[in-house]
Amino acid sequence: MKGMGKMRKPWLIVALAGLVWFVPFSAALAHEENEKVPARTLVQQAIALLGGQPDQVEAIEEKIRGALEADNAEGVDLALVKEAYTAFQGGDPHRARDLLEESIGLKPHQVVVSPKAELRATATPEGSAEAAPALHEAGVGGGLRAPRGLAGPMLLGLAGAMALLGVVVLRRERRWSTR
Amino acid sequence: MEYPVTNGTAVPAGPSRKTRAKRLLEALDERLGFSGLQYPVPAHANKLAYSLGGLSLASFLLLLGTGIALAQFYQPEPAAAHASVRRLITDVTLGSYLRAFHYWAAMAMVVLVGLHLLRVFVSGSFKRPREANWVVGVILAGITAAFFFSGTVLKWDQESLEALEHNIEIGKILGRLGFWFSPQFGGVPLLHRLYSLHVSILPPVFLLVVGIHLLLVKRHGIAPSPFRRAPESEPTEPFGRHLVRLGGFTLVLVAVLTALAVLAPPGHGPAPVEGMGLKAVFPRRKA
Repeated sequence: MKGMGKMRKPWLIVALAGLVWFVPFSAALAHEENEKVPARTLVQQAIALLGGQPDQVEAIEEKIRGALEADNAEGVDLALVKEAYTAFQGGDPHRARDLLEESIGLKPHQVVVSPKAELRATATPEGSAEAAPALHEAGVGGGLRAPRGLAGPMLLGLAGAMALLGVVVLRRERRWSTR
Repeated sequence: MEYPVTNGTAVPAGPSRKTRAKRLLEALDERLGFSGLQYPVPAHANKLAYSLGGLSLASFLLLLGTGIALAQFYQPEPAAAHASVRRLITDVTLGSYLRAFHYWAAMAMVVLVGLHLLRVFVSGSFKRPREANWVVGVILAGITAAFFFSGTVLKWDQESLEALEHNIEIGKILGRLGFWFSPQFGGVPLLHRLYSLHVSILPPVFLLVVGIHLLLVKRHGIAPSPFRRAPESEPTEPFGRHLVRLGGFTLVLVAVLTALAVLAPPGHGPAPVEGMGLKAVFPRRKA
């Protein structure tokens, strides 16, 4: 058993050495990968992270830095991205998000998702908190909820009536087949 | 009161006199031959386990109806698809309900097709001479999966983008044969092609294959139940009664789907961002 322990140690050292070597190397690889991704995509990713996971500070910083260093910066105002980076580092993620949205041609918080929202957006002063939701917030929640308005209870009533009718048909048919 | 006239003599109406509705039915049957559907089916075919195939077809028809309605509001442009789904949910009257019903009907169809396949396998209904129909059934299950996948992509949120990435990966695995899955093929966005697959290619193919499936069921008859041990022959009923019972099951199914659509509508994720994982856009809430 002792011999086996001795045999294991060199492998363990090699594995640890490999890990120590791989961690910074993989980070460098990720950095290189970021350079291949267009700046616009990286800015969109940073916006999505700022909206969905604002506590991922390192990841957000990496995306913004990646956008600044990307080979393809088509459709991105890099000056605004740089300003957003400074704002984010200065502890103002809201300002950073607004600047990032502007850098790819979006008005902050004014990504229009429906005609009604468009009407609201045009009627609201720029930058107002009442404006339409931004790109990364444009989802609709699902899951269990109480029926809303008049349509919900009416549809539930209709469902109840259909279920009852179905049970009546099945019971009648069962009687018919046992005759 | 009017009497029918035969050879110039009025004949009073009796118990044998056909009603107008019955005469109409006979006239239609003479021309359309639907009495051919009244072939005998064994009593066990009326049980829920043997109605799963019929219920799968009913789900498909419900999906067809709601899908036609949804298509009036959907834009298959990558830049507009997400917004059009969101608009359907938030601005169109009963739009959220329609989408939710379509979603739950799709879920029901996948489950029902799976259970139907399981029932056929467990009861040995795939054995000679029904092997070919088993293969046709498996093809139908495959088409159902294709419907499910393409429908997932159409809603065009982060989950859809990840599903689309799987689609592209499948294309890479298939090599040259996977050209259809490639975003470069066809010169139009992949979303357009998946939309045309979902609404104009898969439905007619499904209906054609389901037609063959039903013809083969009629040709070979309903498979005998392996669980029946009674020595006397099983009583039969005309197929029409089976259809009425299937109608009863379908009403209950529609009721359940309606309740689910109202009480548990599906969500719609944020607009897709390339290279982002679902965990990034749907982060776990901290306790």
